[in-house]
Amino acid sequence: MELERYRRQLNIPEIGTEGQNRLAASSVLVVGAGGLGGPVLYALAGAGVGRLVVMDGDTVSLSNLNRQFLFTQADLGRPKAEVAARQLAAFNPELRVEGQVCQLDRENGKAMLAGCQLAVAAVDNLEGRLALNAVCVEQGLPLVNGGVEGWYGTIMAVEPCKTPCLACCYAGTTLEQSGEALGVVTGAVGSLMASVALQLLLGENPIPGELLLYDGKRLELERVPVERSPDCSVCGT
Amino acid sequence: MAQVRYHGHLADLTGCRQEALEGTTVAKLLDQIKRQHGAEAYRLAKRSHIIVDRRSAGAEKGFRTPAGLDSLVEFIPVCGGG
Repeated sequence: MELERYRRQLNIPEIGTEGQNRLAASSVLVVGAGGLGGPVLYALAGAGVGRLVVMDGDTVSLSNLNRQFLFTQADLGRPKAEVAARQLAAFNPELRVEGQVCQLDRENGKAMLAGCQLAVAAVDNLEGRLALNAVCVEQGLPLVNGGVEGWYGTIMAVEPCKTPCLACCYAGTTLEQSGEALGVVTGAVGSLMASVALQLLLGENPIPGELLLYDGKRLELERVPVERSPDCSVCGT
Repeated sequence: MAQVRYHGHLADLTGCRQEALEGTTVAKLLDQIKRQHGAEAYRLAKRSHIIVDRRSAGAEKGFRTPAGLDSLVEFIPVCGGG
């Protein structure tokens, strides 16, 4: 490991040499390489997470470029997972980056999570989030979830059978998406997601049993406590 | 009276972040929101992520979830995009 690359973060007490080695030995699955996935992936790659699996079945379109800064105009029509893997490998050649051009479902989720210590849901739909949540709970792996809607975003860290899972929170919720997405909001929410992911890899959950709300209009952060649902169909006892 | 907290655009529509409302269920609180703040606020509140006393109403009894006198009910924007 090239320590000079990480010199500015090695002095942070929660990281240090031990934490840096821990990050280098970690594998993370990031589902979705778009507006949220981009800043998450850049932050994890920059911090030195040793292996990143990038999963996205979509291709780059012009309407992505207002917020998806992993891509350029030259990437239009190309698979996001492939372009993201190429960009991240160039950004930090020490890492192992694998691009998987497919959507996550209950079938392939287990194989994609093989060898990972953490998953990140950065997809643009509720179904994808719930599918990843179910696989993570089944495998006992922590999950960082983030989503945006216009100026607003939410972030949650799921530690299976310890904190509420996404099904505890989103059961019975219907998602009427407006399709509103702004780069300054996805960037902020993606960075918060990456911060939660790094801290989980280092052994701390900064938002246990809490839904973190980001209001990009008022520039506010709020924590809303949420409990597990005893009748949850995914993590209930 | 249940304490109701509004987040996101709903706080703009209602003109407040928190208020006390009469109502023994989520459905009755939604009726109060419609009466006091109009149809648009009601529509947005109804499709929010509703948390009653730390539990998601969707995972409990949906709009029939009870809201007691000391309940805290949060209306949070559903953020599913990326």
